[in-house]
Amino acid sequence: MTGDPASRRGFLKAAGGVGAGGALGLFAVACGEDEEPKPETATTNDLDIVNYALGLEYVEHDFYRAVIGAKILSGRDLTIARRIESNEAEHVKALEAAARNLDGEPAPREETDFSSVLGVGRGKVLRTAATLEGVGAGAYLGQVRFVESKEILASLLSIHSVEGRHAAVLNRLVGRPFSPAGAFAEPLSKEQVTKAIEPYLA
Amino acid sequence: MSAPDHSHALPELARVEVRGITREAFIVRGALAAGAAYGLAAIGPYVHGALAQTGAADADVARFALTLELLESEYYEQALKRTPGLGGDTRAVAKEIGDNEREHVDTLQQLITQLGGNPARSLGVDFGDNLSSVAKFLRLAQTLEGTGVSAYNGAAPQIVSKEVLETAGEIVQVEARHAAVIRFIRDGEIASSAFDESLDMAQVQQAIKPYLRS
Repeated sequence: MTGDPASRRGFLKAAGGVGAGGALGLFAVACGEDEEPKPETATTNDLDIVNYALGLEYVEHDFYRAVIGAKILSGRDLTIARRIESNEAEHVKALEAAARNLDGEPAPREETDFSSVLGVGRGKVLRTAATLEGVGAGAYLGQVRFVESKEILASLLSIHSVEGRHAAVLNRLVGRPFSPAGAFAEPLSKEQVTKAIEPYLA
Repeated sequence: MSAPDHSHALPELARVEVRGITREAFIVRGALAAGAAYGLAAIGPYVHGALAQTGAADADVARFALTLELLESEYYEQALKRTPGLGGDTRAVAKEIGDNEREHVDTLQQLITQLGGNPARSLGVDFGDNLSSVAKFLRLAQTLEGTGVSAYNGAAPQIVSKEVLETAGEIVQVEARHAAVIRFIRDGEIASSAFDESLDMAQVQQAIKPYLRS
């Protein structure tokens, strides 16, 4: 298939809307075809990967906008949140452009709901931010081996390392190790990422 | 990674057969610690041939990366010994980063060996005045880490093996974490831009030249 239908519906929404357990089940439905579920390695193309990343950036971007709008943070915390929000906004733009350059449609922006986090306070907000950034970085890392185009790979890597920066600083703010996985970061599967992000999709 | 199949006469080969040559850990760190068990003689000729093909480009990248990691590793080691006033939380961070760099060195040396090369074991370095105070130490640390990120990002698209690429990605994310933490300690921006730039090998050589003893 030239473009996974899930790329157009929004990977996360497609994945989240399915009751089937496990990544393979999600892919079978997302492909919209009546066939054997394909393992993650087999059929994702660069457009799918770009849209997958875009879906995550939308969620992250929404999160920081919600946090800033709710006026929960102040001082240095707020400065950092603003900086990260601005980075995520640029990542969104870059990935939307990348999708179009691949003759595809950027994934639609999923509706998010962070009320479970915002109401609790600074600590919860920052811990959630730290977790989201770590998941984001791991998501990119989990896909690098599948990217076909060198240009797309270069673009994704230039974003991936910045997500790592975000994760490190936020971890410091909440007293977590700046690199929980140690000397080598952990690539995350789509299944792991979806599970982490799902609670924040409306 | 699946657990090795100990019922097979050659457990390492069983793992390679099950997962296919593009997936398994005979190049990746950790598995390499087995060293002798993963000698290329234990792996079938097809795998060996494929490895030899991808080896050259990837060995160049690995050698280049090793130079950087040796530089960084030396830097933190020296700082921990010599930089006056390096204590408390900053010292703990410096130690952790240095430990990470040491692991990167070990892995890259093993990788180069697996790819048929002879990895550098040490690097002649000269950090001049940069370790004479915590402020100077942090300033150059930030530069070195940022250079590392840009070097890996620049080299990655040339890497042929998917395992080596993923390992490079695992390393670069951690280098970026280092860079950000240093910036954070210095109270600066966590990233100079939303996108980390790439540098090519020549640019990186230029950047690190002042610290290499000729």
